[in-house]
Amino acid sequence: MSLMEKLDGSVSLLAGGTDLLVAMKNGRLRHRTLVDIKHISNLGAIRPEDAGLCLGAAVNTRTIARSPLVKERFPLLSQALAVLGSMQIGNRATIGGNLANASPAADSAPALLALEASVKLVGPQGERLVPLENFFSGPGKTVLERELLTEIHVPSAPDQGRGVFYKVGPRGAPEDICIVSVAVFAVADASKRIWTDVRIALGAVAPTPIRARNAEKALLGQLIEGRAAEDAARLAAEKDARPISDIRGSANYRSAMVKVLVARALEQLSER
Amino acid sequence: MSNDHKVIGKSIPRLDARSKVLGEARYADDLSLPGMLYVKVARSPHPNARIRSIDTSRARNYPGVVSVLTAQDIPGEKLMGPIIKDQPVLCGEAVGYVGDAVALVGAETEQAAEEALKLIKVDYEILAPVLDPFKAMEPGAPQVHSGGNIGTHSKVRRGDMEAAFRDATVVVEKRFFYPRVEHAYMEPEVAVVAPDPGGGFTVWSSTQYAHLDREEVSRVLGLPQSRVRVHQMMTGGGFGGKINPHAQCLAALIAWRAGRPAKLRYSREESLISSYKCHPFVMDMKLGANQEGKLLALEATLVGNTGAYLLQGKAVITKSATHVSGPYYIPNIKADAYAVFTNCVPCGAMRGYGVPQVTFALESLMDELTGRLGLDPIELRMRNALDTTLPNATGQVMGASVPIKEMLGKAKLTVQSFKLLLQQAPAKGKLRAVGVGCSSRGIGSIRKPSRSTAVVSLHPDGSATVACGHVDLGQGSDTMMAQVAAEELGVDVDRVNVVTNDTAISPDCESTSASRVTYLSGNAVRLAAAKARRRVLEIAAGDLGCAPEELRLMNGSVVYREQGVTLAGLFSKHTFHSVTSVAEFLPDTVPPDPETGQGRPAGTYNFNVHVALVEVDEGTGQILILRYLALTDVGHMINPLIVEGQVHGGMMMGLGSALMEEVKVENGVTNTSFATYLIPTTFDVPQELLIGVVEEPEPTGPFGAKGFAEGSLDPVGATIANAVSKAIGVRVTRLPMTSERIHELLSQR
Amino acid sequence: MNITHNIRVIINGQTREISVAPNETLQDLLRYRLGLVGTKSGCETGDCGACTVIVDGKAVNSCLVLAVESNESSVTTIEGISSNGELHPLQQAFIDHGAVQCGFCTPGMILAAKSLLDEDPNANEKDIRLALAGNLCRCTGYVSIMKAVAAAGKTLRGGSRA
Repeated sequence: MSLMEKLDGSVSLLAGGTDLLVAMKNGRLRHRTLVDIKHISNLGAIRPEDAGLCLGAAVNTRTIARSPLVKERFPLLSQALAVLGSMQIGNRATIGGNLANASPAADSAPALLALEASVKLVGPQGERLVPLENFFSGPGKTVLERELLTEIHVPSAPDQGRGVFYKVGPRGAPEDICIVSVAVFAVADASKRIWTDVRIALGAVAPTPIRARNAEKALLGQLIEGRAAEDAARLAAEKDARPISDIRGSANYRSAMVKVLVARALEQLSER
Repeated sequence: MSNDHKVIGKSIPRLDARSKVLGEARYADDLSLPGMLYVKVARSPHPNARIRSIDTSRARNYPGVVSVLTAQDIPGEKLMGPIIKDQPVLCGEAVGYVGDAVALVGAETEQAAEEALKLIKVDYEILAPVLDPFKAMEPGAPQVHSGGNIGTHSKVRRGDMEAAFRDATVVVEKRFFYPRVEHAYMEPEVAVVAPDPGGGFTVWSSTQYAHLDREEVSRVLGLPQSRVRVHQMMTGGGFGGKINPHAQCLAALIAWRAGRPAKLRYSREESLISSYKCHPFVMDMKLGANQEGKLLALEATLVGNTGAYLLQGKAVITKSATHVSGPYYIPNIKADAYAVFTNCVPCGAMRGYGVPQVTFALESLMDELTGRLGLDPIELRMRNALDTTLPNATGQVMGASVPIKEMLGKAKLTVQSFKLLLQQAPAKGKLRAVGVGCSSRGIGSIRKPSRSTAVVSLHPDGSATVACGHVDLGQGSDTMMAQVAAEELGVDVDRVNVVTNDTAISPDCESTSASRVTYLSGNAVRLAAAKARRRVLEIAAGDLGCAPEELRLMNGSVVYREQGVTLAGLFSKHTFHSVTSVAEFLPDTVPPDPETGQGRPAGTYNFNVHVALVEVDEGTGQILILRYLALTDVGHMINPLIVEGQVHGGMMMGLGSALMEEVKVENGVTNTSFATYLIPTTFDVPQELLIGVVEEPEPTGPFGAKGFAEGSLDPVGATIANAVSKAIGVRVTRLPMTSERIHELLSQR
Repeated sequence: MNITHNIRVIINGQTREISVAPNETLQDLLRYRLGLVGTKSGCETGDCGACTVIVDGKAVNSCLVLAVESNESSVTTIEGISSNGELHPLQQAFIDHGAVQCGFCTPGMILAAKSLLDEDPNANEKDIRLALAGNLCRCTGYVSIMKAVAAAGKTLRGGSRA
């Protein structure tokens, strides 16, 4: 922690390096000091926690994607991380690094948001647990204040809950930065045929990865077979998403894709 | 044609494969020479500006810096280019695009060179740029060059357009857009140049044309060509993008000034921003046919944005115009093709060279016609396909090896089998359809014919050396030459050494491009080997008292009936140490007339027919290629394994332009890495990619072979676009078909 | 101030003690200092896979690994997978299937494939496609490459079908 106290603008924490080194080579970041955090104990483990998981920040994203424990408990997360990047990138990229880099298009974020994960931040003033939804503050910005993100806690999810992740990229390749990504985790009451718990998370359509709260509200207690899904998809696109146009796609297309993908996800989840 | 060959037609693993899988093959950046300096290039951040002054003083004083050069330091010629010399080696007075080279730094380390670069101060007078070719053609547009913004104008004129369109029952007309494409060779540009003790220079480069490296480096240094020697290193892909030796000239300047070896390697970003690209085309095409589907008239205006410098613009535009009617007979043609200067990144040679562009437009209109005439796409093409009696756009009639109808027949079977898959209910929200595309291409350079020269030496132990100047870029031409020579000389392939990478040894055959190497140099090698063989057999015949025709060359001996005479014995008796023969091959052609485009410009033509089964996601606009058939016409396969590899590679490169590749220019190139310039990955390979090879021998080709390397790319965009257009019910007129564009078209239905 | 770090790294089975600069990448170290030029430099931003090497059993882009980070690690480059001139089955398969054209992507491609087959000897066509998605090739169109990897997998499994 004494090291954290000395953190100033010229020091960066090095985890997987897959974003940091690119930024350094582009001249976007100039440093005198890098602090390699990979070997700090406890940052490199996946631990079961009740029915949920605790992911060390320095665990490689590909390790998480391939972990039998993660596949069993949170297939949504496994699915999302499998397409975070190429095999080579996934073998170095860390879950903590991906979150702390805070790209609005971060591939790990929508699934973790839909699973209502929290992150543990450790600093000279102590520790705090922050819901992931409150962790991102802007494109490339987080609430970290001279702190180290040490763990990601993924709470146990309702048994009947199912999740699905869609990523629309310019190719089909895992290394593509997404144009839009959508993660939905939903619980339905099988007998009443209504949605009881729906979390919809969107990537690359706002300054940060977000929960589509307007869409979620419109689904709670609604019939699965009704029009609610369509309305929710429209709300997600029109009220929750605030996309911009960039080299990968226009704002219009992004909005349209939010609608298509949210509707598709809900339909897929309602079929199960 | 006899299939009785020992080596021709065999899938011999390429000769350099072992060194490559071991990591032992040496590319230019693998080279390090004692005392070597590292070169970095200062480039313009503006698309159009005058240079008021360049201050290099601070850069010169940076620790580790040995030389800093600007245009005024160039000892020889200051302009370079493959057809006209219009590109500044270093800009002295003005810059024409973002990325134009302005100054050079040579330093002890790459880091020092990079830091010193930042200290170079250029005072620019920024001028308004013109980036759109149509705006560039308007009066009052900023003049990129003093001679006006139209760099070249190629024409085809045949027949009576007015009458023909009057007679046409159906006329279809549209504007089409083909993107600016980046070659994206995996190895970025690299050159190492070192001064020789004798006052000359040696160049080691990644290049498609070692002799042009020699020509330009010697011109820039003010030396005779005989003083410059170029070694082509193993080259990590070219695709047309490594013909113009800019890096070589820049490295040479530092080597000359500092008197030390100098290496310049482009970063990927630098390569993406400043190296030349494939011409984007805007094409207005009008096609008229009669009731029976016979094509009567084709009118086309093709505008290619050639960027700041012409490079191969003249030749690309000529090729596009002369190929405007594809593999069909169209009696009346009016085509005007323009290379227009703008302040965009320059465009030059790239695999395809104008043919993929016009093929996209023409094949799309053919499908429009099928819709209007109620004809099946294959049937319409069959009714208009060329044969050995009909003239193509240039008026040339190919007397042999025109198997397009046979290929259409084969494609028809595939279309039928793909259509069976259509009948299976696709997943919800997916649209499936089958599309067809064909193309034809004249092999070799058609604007000006090119001659190949080969030297074959047969050694006393029966091994041989072949020297020929067409370099191997990985497409396997060295292996092809070895096979050809081995077949002629009766030796095993691994006893033939092919030297193509040394300008001191290998005769100049022009660039490895235009799908020409097998046809032109394969022929030259065959002729030279045959000459050497004949000479040996004549000598032996004299000794044996028989006719040379009764003798055979086999594995180091001359065989007569049951006897053999060793070459070693034969040679020493007749004061030979080796028997060396030279031969040339120049196809019998007539370049296209500048006013009409008519002539007989190619020695042979290659035809391609492709079929695609695609699936479009109605919600997202994403395209999946489920099945793809690429039929190619090669005359005769010299090496089936190599043929297959070329067709796979060409098809996937074409898929890139069809679905995802586009160099975007806003002032300068904005896709500055492989994260933003996207090329196909393993994920993009169709679920099933089938190759079909048709062998109808080309009588003037070596063992009946002709070229096909670009042919496998030419019709891909067209084929996929035709399938997608069918699937979504809207005509695709712009490539690449990004999911956003298709989504937009779907919403227009 | 010229800081250097002393690292101990096992490269192709040989232990080396080297002094490296803090901003030196593993790719720089291998290519420009140790003369192991089989590892290629295609983009230096982790997008093309030409620089792939295997570090502690995992395929990584050496352009995005700092040399200091490979301290106490085991690194395998293309130079390290054949033994005494005998080719690894992957190398042989690449030759036999025409999976090598210009050869620039080849070392990275072979090492990526090797790490896949080492991790998962029963890798099927889908697994191969996914594992190699980060290795760009402009010449071959990938078809013969994927065939070669599948064939090598079969050879390594002892010729039996999984």
